[in-house]
Amino acid sequence: MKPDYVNIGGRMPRVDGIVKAAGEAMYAADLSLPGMLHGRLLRSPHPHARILGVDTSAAAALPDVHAVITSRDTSGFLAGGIGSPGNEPYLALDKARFVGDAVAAVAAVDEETAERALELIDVQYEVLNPVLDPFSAMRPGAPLVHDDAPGNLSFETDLSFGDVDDAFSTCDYVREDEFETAPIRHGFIEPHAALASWETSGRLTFWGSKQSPYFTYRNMAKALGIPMSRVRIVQPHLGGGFGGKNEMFNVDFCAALLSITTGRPVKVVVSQEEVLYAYRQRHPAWIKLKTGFMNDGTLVAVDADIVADGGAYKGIGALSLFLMCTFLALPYRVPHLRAKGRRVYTNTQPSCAMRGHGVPQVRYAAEVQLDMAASDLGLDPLEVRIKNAIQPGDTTGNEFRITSCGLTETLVAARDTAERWRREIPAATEPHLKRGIGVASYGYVSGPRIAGHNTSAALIKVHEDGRVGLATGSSDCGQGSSTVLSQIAAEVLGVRLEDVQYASLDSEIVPVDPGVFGSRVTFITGNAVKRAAEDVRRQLAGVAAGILGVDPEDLVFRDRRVFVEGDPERGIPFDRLVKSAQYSGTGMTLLGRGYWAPEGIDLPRFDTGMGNQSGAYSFGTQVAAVEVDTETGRVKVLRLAVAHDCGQPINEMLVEGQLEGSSIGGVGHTFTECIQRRQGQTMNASFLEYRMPTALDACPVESTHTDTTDEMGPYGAKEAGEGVQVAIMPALVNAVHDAIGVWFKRVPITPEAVVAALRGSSAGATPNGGAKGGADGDGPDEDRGPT
Amino acid sequence: MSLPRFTYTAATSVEEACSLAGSGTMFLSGGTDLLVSMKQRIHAPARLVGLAGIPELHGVAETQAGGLRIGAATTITQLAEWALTVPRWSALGDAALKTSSPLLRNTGTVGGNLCLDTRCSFYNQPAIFRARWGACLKLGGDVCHAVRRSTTCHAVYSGDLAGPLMAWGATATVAGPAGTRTLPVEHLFTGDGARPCALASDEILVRVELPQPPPYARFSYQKLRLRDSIDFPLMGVSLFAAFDGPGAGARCRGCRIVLNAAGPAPVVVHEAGGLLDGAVPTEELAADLAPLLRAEARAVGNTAAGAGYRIEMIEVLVRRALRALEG
Repeated sequence: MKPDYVNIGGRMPRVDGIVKAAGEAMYAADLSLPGMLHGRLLRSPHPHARILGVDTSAAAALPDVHAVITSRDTSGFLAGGIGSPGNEPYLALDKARFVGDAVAAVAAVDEETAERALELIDVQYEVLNPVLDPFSAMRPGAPLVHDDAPGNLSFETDLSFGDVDDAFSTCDYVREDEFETAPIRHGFIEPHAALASWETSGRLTFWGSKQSPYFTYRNMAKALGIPMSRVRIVQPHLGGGFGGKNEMFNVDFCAALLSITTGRPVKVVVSQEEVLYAYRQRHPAWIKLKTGFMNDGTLVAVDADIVADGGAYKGIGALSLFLMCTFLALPYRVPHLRAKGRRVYTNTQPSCAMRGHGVPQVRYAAEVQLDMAASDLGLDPLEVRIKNAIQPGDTTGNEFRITSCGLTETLVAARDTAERWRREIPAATEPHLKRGIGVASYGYVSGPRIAGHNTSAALIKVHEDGRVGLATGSSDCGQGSSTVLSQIAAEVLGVRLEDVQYASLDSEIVPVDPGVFGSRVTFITGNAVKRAAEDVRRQLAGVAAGILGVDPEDLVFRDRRVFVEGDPERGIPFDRLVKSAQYSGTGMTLLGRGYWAPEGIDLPRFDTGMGNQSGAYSFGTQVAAVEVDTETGRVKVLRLAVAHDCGQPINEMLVEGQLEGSSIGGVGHTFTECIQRRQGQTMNASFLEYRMPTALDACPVESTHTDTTDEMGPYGAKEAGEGVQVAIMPALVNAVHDAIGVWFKRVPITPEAVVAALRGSSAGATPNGGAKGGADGDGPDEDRGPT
Repeated sequence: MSLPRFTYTAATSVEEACSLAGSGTMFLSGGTDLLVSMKQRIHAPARLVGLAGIPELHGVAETQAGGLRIGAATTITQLAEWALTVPRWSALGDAALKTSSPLLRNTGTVGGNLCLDTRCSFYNQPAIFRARWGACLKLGGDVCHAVRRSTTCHAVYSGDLAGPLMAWGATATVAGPAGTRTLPVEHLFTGDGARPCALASDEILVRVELPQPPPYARFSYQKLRLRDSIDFPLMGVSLFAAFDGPGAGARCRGCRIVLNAAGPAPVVVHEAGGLLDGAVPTEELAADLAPLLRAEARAVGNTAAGAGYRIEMIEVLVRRALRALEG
């Protein structure tokens, strides 16, 4: 039986719900300071061009322009490159490497003047031949995006365990397929925005839209050549991140350097159009996958060759590739695995983390191929998954140590859901509509370690009216972590959720945090908060024990009271206890601190893919029901269900919100979202033409919790909401196959691809080598364009 | 992305609005399309003349003759909400609801949708696109980015309401310095993708009027798009027919079929309408009608779906329209 929690597990309203609903929440672009200037960035219109010269004199001479900067004004700091040196300047040095690469920046009294100044900057470009897809980029003699990266190779991972070649020879059944995924966007609604204010004393204060503010804290200090402690990052509310706001970007750097140059605060807000053509994307991937099974469905061996388009810069792409390779080892038992990955530079927008971080691409391939194999072997694909499901206590060949694991339970729950749906969903009445149901499973991390520093921390201050202030270095980018962390503090201290005030992040005093990525906040920061709250509780218990004349160990903190266990009448209200502690004798200041990181987590070996990545792994199975219009090729998603193991949910409503958002995001990835490019130019840089599902396009999402408790997670909690994006694509693709009998090995599945496939043409159903075949991009208009 | 600098005058009468017209001036109705184009610097008018404050341009009402009069500045939501409550106009309400999204229908107007600028993947782009490729025909340049060597513009008329209104036989009343004139809605369109609207720069659309529907009239608008929530049409087929009686066996007595989002202007496909005259509509007729519609389509690769697919879908849309009319 689960403990009787007050603040854990229920459906609790978000702590930032009211300010957001009332429009009072301040985002970076909302802020202004006296004397503030507005900055704008000049971007390269060419995908690949040498910069011969930049004449800024006319722009600088324009009235009300305070500064024009180019790379000449920078130290040439190169960002990115975890595990190896970075190669991305904040303002282009010698070359522009994609359409949208920033070349110069302007600060003026208003945006209009800044934009006019941009038009007056004269950049002399020598236009170079671009490489626009990874296969052209790897050909001998191809133009080099970076001179020090022969073959345009950005990073390689070579993961291997078992004896793959030998294992295939023992298999009853082996199949090999090629899969392809398109470049897509994070789709956050708040664009990149930064406000920086430089003080003559040598201190910079920075407000920005940063998912992982301490990435910016560190890089800002390095790029400006000042001590980290002279960079103060204040984090306003965030309008979404999804992996696309982890890194520090040119907008952040330029705001700071323009402020230093002008002596005035400078704000730079980019347009959503710029976000869409000049910032990050999810790695498009080409996955050759060979898998061997025994006749009874036992999975024996996997061999994968992965090519990921990294775009123009390294960024954090080594981690992306590492994750693509290592997650071929989850969520099934794989005795023999070889995964070779290559990340390749092209003259397109840089690729980076995005919800699921590399894993959705490879698991799409693996989970669809599993269904293909099951179909050939005459087996139920769900039973094949149950047969091979990883189990508690397993260690994968690449050293993932699986502790709590409810994968099998999620599969059983998914089987029940699918069976119920087959009864509940009637066959389509019109003959051109075909319905189908598909499933796919996932495993995911609860906070991977990506570098040395892996520790999250929390501070708690108790106010004399019994309220509790909580601060951590993990920003809430909309996922609800400030609520979850507040619940944990409230539970430990026996107060109510509304008694906890989650403070805004300010690097001046709030402890350093690795960042908000890899589903680490509830699991890792949650543990830190628990420890900080326990620290304060210990202090208060000492005082209460003196007042009540009992041992501190015998005290219970619950519902704003502290009382003797087994004798609730013998106690003291929480706020009175606080006052007693503060006012008696020499008085106490009630501050709690806590920090935590899971023990025994290896530093990632990016090149070999070996090492345990996380203190806990989450699991789940997605069920999808679709209806295919065989005349128009459009696919309607009728229902989605997630049976998942996130350990103990801290807040059921937030977990459901995460599952819904992540699932619907995956629907877009599967059917409508794709960055269309023409010779390196993004052609659909608007939310009208870049088609994410809107709320009106969403379908109902059911969720089922399986009942595991993770021993390491705070109150037994693990990851929720990111992992599910791993399974949604293959579940949908498998459902489409169930409906019309076609396997789609390329996403998105466009209506045109469906119509072509049903006509018997192979154009849509197999990898058409969008990039391999056509060097000019992957838009529908690639053969008709500017000459 | 900020708007370029402009002055704004809120007109209070049709005459005032026309008198303010001139070089560098554009009329602003709902603004859902124009303001986006201005942010992209496709248009940079020195002055905008607001039409929303002109009382004459508002309202939906039946005429004494039993027709329907719709003020040009009526929002699409207002039209839909009115029409859906009146059975003989409810099919028009259904068609209006297929336009864009709820929020944009709340702001966008009937006149604005009719006079919508044509769209093209190579035209509706931010300035950085033009910095690399140069201006296209529609922007005064000498190149078509959509079709190499083309000397005519292939931008696509993407309004939703024109098709249904033309199928219903609606007329448009236009005011200018010389007074007002009334013309069939189809005459609002030039067929030139670069300058799609036939109104002079000092004319404004005042209202549209639909004639009283004949007895037993039926209507269907079939729209192809990628998301039902918001997208512009990739192809549209409107089918309006009067019948000689109620029920399934009734025959068509007068029929108009309109193709929209198939080229620079919506087109009434008269031959197709004629073919249906006297027939009991059945899905099988789609195979005969579709070639006539396809012959009028001018699709090229400048929208979110390929031209071949859009053309192929005409027969599907016709079939669905016929099915909707089967009664």
